[in-house]
Amino acid sequence: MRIVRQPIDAQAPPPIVATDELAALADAALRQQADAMRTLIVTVAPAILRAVRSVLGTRHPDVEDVAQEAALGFARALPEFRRECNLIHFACRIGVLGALAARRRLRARAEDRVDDGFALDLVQDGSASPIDAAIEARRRAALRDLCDDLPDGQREALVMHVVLGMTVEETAAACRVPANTVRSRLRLAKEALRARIQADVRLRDAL
Amino acid sequence: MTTPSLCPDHLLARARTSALADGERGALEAHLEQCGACRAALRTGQAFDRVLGPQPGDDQLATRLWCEVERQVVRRQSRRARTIAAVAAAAVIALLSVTSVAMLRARLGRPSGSVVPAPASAAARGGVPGARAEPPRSPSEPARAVPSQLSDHLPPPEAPAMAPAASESPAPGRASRPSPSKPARVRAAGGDAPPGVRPTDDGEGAGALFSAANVTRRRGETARATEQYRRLVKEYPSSPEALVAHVALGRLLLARAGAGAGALAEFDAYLVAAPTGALAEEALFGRATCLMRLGRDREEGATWRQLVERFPRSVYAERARVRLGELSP
Repeated sequence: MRIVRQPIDAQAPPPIVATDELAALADAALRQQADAMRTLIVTVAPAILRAVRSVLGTRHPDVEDVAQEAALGFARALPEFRRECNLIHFACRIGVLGALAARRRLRARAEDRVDDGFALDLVQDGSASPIDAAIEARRRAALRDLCDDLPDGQREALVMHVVLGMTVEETAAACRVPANTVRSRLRLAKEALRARIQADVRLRDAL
Repeated sequence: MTTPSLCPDHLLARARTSALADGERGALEAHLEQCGACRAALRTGQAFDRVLGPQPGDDQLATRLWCEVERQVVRRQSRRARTIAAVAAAAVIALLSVTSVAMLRARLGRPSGSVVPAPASAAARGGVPGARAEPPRSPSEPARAVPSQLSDHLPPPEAPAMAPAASESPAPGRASRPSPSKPARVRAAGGDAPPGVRPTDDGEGAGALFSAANVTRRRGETARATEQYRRLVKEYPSSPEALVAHVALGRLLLARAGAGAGALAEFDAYLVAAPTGALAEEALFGRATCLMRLGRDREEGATWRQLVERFPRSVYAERARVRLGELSP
């Protein structure tokens, strides 16, 4: 049996402290101050959009609708927000879960254009050479495909950590699970990602 | 073989958002040499970083998200709060009434501690023993006379607790209208909606139809959504929902091959009804795109110029300038 140890680096970041510059705004929103809620929604909207686009694709036609559902979910869940993470990460998680559910629905309806961001990502990405851009687009597609096959906890951790760049501690706080649980899920998910990329001839060399 | 439990996940995250110290960078690179999983994760994450930045139109999209939240969450909470306030006020009034009856009885000479009689109707219905046992009421003291005598003890009709509800609650036929503030969609379509565009008595039906059309559109049933938006425009032409529906219709039609002229008509309808509305920017963009597809270069150029002049900082401005450059001889 493998013993999961802590990272070797003793300078790992401390657990998330529940200090959030949006907390006062959330309090005002909970007191039904519409202006505060408006500011809050507009502030977290980029995070929600980023989360949704990461799962569906940057130009997927359902991005707006899924983001809208996520924003509504965020507003409705606000009274139950326990401040174990910051509000941006809370919104991110709602966006990720909503997008993953939408992706599942789309695939169930056999709408295989879930990754139609592929070509458009390629066009949008002007910083890399066309070959590099194509490889990166394929990497993104590989991860999105992988999300369809992973268990819920693993794919959630994979998107929040690998795609959105949240730390293990931030992911753990947002998902309300221990950090070691996230590490364990990430270990499995990253290994699956490596295997998925290695199985792709065009990505294997770039790995 | 990787040793995942030792993976420096915090360095992987920080490597994408901030500069690592030399020691950290060396440690991370040494780890990446050995760990294919972390290498794959880091490179895939960097591939996402390149495309997940803000997109043109995100500001407007955020505003639309807020409009929907306001419509579906904030207003409902507000209505619920008003209902609770009204119920609380009614309870207070009922309590005061009971108290006043007791005080009145005391003033009329009843012994203290006597039971307040049940209403005559209750006594008649249930045959409450206590009611039968009470002393006979004199003819000059009918039960119906009590409320008028209680008026001195009751709060005024517009008690402070009721004032906000009374001032904010709409007429019965418009329970969901956001009066007195402008409806969210009027704000979304332009807080300065033209005089002809105002909430009407049929706004409730318009709102329901608009919501249904939105739900249909989200399901991907674009043909049915188009039909519902058209019905909304036809049946409730003066509602704010119909105004927004023009832009929604335009966007749906724009995505359909061969429907450029129809989309153009919708965008034009919005721009005529709300030339300074908040969706004017999107309507202008949609109009220019339609004209481009229809090959009407001169009108297209004029629309792009109008967009740039009116909204120089628009997310569409760069696209407009590029297209104007292409159109210039």
